Amino acid sequence: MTHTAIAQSMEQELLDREFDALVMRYYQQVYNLAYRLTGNAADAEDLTQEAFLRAYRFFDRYDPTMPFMNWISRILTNLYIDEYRRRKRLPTLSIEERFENEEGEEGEQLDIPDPGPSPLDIAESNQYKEAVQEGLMSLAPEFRTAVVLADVMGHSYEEIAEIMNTSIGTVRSRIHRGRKQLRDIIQRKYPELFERGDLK
Amino acid sequence: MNCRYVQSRLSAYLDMELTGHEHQLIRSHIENCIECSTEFERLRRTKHLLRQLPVVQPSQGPEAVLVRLRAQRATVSQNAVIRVGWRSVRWWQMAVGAAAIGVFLWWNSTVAETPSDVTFASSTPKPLLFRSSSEPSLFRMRSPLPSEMLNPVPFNQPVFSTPILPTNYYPAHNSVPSFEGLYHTFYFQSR
Ligand SMILES: [Zn+2]
Repeated sequence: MTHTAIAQSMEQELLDREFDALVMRYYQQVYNLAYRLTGNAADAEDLTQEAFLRAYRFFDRYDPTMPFMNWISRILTNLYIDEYRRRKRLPTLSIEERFENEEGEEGEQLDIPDPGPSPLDIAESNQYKEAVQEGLMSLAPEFRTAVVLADVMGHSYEEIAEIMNTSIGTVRSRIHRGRKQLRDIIQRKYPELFERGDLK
Repeated sequence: MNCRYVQSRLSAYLDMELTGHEHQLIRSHIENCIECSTEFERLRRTKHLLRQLPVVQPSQGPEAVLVRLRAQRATVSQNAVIRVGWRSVRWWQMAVGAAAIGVFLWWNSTVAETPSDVTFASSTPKPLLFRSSSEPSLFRMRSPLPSEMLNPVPFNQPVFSTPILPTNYYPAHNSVPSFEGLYHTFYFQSR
């Protein structure tokens, strides 16, 4: 056993220790992101675990100038979009291809199930929250990811572009279209949320 | 500046992601256009609803991840034993192994001839490899050393004495470099 080998093993030990500390520190935040993307606890937990394990495997490539949360968000959203495509057997065609030529109102008509009659006496804000999460689940994964990164996780467009490995223009378009689709879904169910007057 | 253009920029405007000049242009348009200001207000409320979503608490903590990480590290070190064990054996390691066999055979025959009241074997501090199985190991999931794989040992001597304990029994980190760490090194070097 050479001195170099021993030194390297100590280095590995330190890296392992550092990584374990990162797991403990960011687990909840990462889980929250996973939950808002998958919409349920079981999938969120699986996704969180897989993201951390993959991050560990590539930890030697981690550039510490990037916040760890951003780096693991990139790994997690990649995993999520891949897995989503695999499960739904959707083609991995670029969203931009589908929207390239349009600029205005007409978004893609997603197949959104009719939410049914909306109760008029909704006072519980929890119901709104459920509606928001349900609405998120109806978005295409790229739109949902961009919207969640911006509005739930509070990232800037520049950070989202880095996390999703795309341009700022694409991020802007995904967030805008995602929000508009979400608004339509929520408005159909709870129109009072968009009537005149202050937000609750 | 037409409404179509303005409406395509409303989310970026809301997120303060436009240049100062463009921001000003959109703002002055919204102030004078009911259609665009209504659309802006709807987007603002949508963002507001998203921001109000609570942080979801996981039902369990990061332990499951840590356990899987440990298992993965142990697997990597075991793979490394196989790779290192059979690839980089040098002539002097062979010689040391042969010498060890010779010494052992000699020692074994000596002990066999020694009367049973001689306390030589039990009073000698036990070397690491002969530690009884009840003692906890310093090393997590210790794998056999390459030299252990090469040197034949008596059948009645517990060489791989590390007891298999629940993962949480072992300290997460040792203050000394672990053998599995060394195997990591070999593993990555030999790739
Ligand atoms: Zn207008």
